[in-house]
Amino acid sequence: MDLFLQQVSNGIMGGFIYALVALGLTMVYGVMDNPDFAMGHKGMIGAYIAFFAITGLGVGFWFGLVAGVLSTFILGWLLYQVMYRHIENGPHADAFIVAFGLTFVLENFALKAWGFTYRQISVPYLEQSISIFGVKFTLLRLVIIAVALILLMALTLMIKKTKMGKAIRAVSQSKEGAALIGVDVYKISAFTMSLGSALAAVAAVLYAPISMVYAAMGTTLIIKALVVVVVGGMGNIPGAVVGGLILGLLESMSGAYISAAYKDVFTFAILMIILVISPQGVLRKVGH
Amino acid sequence: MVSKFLRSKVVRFGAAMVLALSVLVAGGCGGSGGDSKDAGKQDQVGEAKFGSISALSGGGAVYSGWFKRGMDMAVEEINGAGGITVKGKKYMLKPIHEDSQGRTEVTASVGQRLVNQDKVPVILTGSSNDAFALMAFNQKKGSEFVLMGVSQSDKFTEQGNKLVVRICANAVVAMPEFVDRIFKFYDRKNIKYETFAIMQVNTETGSAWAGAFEKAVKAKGKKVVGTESYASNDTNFYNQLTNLISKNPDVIVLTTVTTTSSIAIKQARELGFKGNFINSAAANAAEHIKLAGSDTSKIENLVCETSIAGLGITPEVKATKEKILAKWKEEPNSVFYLSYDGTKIMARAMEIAGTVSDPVAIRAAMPQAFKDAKPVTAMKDLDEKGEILYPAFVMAVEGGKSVGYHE
Repeated sequence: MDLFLQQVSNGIMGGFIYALVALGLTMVYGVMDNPDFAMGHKGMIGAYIAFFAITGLGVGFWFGLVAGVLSTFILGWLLYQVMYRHIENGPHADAFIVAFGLTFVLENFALKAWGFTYRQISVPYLEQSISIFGVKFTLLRLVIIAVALILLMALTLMIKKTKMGKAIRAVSQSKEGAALIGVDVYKISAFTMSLGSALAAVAAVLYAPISMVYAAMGTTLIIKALVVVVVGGMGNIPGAVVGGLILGLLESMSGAYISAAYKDVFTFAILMIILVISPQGVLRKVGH
Repeated sequence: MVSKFLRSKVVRFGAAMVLALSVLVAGGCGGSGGDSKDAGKQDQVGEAKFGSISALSGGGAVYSGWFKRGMDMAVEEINGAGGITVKGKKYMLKPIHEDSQGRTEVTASVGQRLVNQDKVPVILTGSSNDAFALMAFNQKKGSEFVLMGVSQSDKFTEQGNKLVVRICANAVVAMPEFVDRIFKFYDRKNIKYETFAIMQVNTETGSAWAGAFEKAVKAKGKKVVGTESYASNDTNFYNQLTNLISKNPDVIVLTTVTTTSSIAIKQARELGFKGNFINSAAANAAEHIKLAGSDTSKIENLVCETSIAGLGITPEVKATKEKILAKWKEEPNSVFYLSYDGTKIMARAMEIAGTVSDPVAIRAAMPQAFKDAKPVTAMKDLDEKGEILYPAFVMAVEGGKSVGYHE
């Protein structure tokens, strides 16, 4: 195995996992102007639903993914209607507190409902290793890269070419302005929250065969996603992928050549430097 | 119309109440357990409280779950037989289980509550991290407590703390003999074992165990080609494993719980590692087999550290294991026997000391309690430092089954 090439590919694979989680978060931030800390935990709920669909109902992995994503889309919509909608125009602190509280509630709900045991989603044919120029990949990690790129293209096309995308851009630029020209701002926010939650579920379900499904996986996902969104540019969809790759490669290289024990220290130190140089992130917010 | 309904004040108020209640229920039931469901009769004359702290949530939850069950079963047996008799008065044991969530600041906080509010004279802990967090204040005048810890770190008994009792193997003391047993197993199976690579979890036990292992194998002329560390809640080990596997080790050594180790094993295989694995006592061969599912080839010849109880060869252990299987329908992690024995020893110490509340007197009675309680793990010879005699054995995965080696 060529060590350098393997570590680079590890970083790329890891980066795309982070990007997948960050896509939903950056979209929601772009429209609602608030980072939704509960995004990872909504994804976690989706992963559990996928797990129970696969193991309980005996459906295949992809059907389980669809079940998890659809149910999380609905969860996101419900949470928006019952909670987020009413604080959307209020102080940012309100949204922060609600999202933070939701992480606590969702995680403990999962613990109470499904216990502490880690749940395994096993997809043998995706866990097979292949070697490309001496570098090892699993099919699953290649699928994650492919899905992240497909979602990036789909979201970009949606934002640029569809009426809904135009409305999303309008709302992210100015809610008041969008409302004045007849855009239903609440409907756009509801759709964005639902879609963002669904994207988080895609990430969580695809990541589950690697990490297993457990109540605290939402925290693991959201911490990295927040960093990715900040580095890539809040509200910038391609920035989520760029930010993910930067984080993934920094982690991989610092872990490989400095110290794996302190990889987070070096990674965040370098990220802080990036933000000092470019406070809006590597790329700007969409629409700006 | 649906969204209008959901936005109505009634629904919003109802949702807020549901959320508030779920927070209260989650906080109240999170681990601050009053009565254990398995505690037995509640119509006691007196209560002999004791505490336990372990990571009941997170990656160590399965391990800690068995730690808790060991205490619960011991309490059920003792209370079912009429409780303990202290100076002629009957007492029922009452365990108070707390969840450290794997965070030492939570351990310290719940430990303070157990001592100051619940007035427990003894606390059992399932890990070094929890134990060391409590050692900072278990000798504080006026709020002392005996700390019975599952900690393989040699430092647990080397800090002059007069109120600690180890209830597991000391990695440094047990390691040379354990390594001998591993090498015998590898010779029997014709497995190559010249070079080792260590995946060391960033905990006190992980560090102590890895250090002791490295020292023991080097003393026998073998090489440790690399050591990589990781946080206990990590789930992506590609970086560390890539580094280690590039050095072509024959064996990768893992120092943490089964769940995390099984992820590391899977990822090592994905990266092309063809060698074998060793796992410390934090993991369990039966759990590894369960997690591997139908394909156990990836963990064939995996060696896990276990105890005489884990081997299941003595009549006492066989009888206890039958009770465990009848109750929980699965093989226990060997930590079960540690907390089971720890509870029985503590109960006997209370009887000998003539007190359910004086930690100093209870600790002084412990050496005799170790003898009287006849622990199923055969742990014995408690000294004034809190050290015990407790050897480590090999439990291997062979043909999809866990097989113990006593010699």
